[in-house]
Amino acid sequence: MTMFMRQLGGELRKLFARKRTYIGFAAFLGVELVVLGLLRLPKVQRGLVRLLEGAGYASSEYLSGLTLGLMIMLSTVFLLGALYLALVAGDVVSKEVEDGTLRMMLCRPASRGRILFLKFCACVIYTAVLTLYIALTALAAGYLHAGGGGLFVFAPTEGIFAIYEAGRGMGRIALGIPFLALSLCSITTIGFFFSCLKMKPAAATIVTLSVLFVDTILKNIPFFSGIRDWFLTAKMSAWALVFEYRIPWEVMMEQYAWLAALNVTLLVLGYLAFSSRDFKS
Amino acid sequence: MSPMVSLRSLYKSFGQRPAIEDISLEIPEGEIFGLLGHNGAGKSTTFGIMLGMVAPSQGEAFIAGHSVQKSRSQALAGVGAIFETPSFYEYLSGWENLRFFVSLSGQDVPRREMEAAVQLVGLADRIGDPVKNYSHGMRQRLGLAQALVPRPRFILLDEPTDGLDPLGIREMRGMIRRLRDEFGITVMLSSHLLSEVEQLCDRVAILHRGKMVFCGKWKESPDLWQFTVEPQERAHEILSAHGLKLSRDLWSAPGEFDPAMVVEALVRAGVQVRGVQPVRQTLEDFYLETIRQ
Repeated sequence: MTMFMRQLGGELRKLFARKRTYIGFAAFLGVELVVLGLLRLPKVQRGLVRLLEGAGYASSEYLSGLTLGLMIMLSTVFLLGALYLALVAGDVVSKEVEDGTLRMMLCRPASRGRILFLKFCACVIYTAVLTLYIALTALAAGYLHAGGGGLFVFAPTEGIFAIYEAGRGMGRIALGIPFLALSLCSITTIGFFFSCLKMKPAAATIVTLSVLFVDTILKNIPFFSGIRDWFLTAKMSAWALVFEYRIPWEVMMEQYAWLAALNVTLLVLGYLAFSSRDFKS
Repeated sequence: MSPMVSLRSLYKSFGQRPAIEDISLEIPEGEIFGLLGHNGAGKSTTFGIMLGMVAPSQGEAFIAGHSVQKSRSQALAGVGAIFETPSFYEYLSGWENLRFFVSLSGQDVPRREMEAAVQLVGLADRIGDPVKNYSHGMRQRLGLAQALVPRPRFILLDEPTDGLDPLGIREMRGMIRRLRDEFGITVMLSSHLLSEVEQLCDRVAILHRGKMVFCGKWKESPDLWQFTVEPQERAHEILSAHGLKLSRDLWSAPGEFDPAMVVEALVRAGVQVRGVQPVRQTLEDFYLETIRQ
């Protein structure tokens, strides 16, 4: 176990020592500030006030740091999160193959399965750290701009319209973050799977993004509304259900079980493809 | 005593094209063994199979008695390797790279052992620098350092002098010798610098188009002689009758060759002998000759 932790530490060091990681983190902060700027526009503010007051709630209380933070978080994850995770996970094996560092690793007694597992664990930790970073910076930005107050959640595609007092709102966000990270792990796994195949790192990233893009488009075509829940991105949205007044745990568990099954399948397929490859330039 | 390395009937094809065919050889402990061949001759495929990176279509490779194909972790437990050009994480320091690769050995290696390897390859002053600032020679040294930790029983070096300047080549040669002489490490290496191989290796194997065309001590190959004679046709008959074989103006002699007796036979047959001299055959001559045949 100590050896595994040491090896995992090495993998994490590789991920977190790259300048690119911090440029990415800075980009997330930049996008969050842009979203915050957009949310401050009078036209957008008027729409939010109308929505809240139309339902009988005081906008001054619920257009708070929590509400803005959640909005910023959702927009940032949607705009940049998928792209960044696809980039990181798509690179994790294939870039090392391309650079020749994987060959150096494979000269060692560690099995291919172990090397892949270490890399996958590092990717999952990276996903969790990124999610936490996005959430914390988004909430900080929201608080700095709007201060404290209750939480207002409006997610029409998930059928959620909810209002919470500050404490409960914060609790729901805290509960949602790990589930959001779990959802994002599916993007990581898809990227990781393609990275295990014999393809260039850029190709692995593009294919991963294409899968998500096509899935999102298909999900939003009205003809497919009856099977909307079948789509990957719909299952990934299950984390938003923590904002329902009565959390539908059975629905969430079902959706996450699907995602887990998909992830395990992709990992096994990735491992089989990786194991059967010859590594020689 | 079982050999350190044993390759048994290795065969590998990529698609329809065979990369290596029926490669079998053994390397006893403590030997420096050279694997020679043109680009594409099958050296990297052979090394790849020995490290478990390439799956053979047939055959098996054994290191220290363990099958690489069946129990890779055990087989590679005492192996250090530089396979093709050593590559590192450019943004990490030499030390961080070393620590990472060593962690994959699965052994708890004391820091002083890593420091000793760094010292041995002469990188102690620069080990804390990012690898992106390293010269090619320094990368080769770091490659060797990572191959030496934890202390291997067998080390496999693919083109260890590739891209090094003459001083670097000499130092690398010295280091490889030390590995065998001081630490008893068995070494297998490939190189295009035949003069290096000539100075270092006890035995060599020559691969040509995927087939092993020679394996042994090249110095035990037949001696070469240059005969300056007239008329040549008659001389050729006499020399051939004495078991000598002509190739590229030189005659290769069988083991029991007595030059005085052959000269006497030539003179008796009316051949004018102007000169007879042995030609020292370099490994390069031998290699080219073997490939040509």
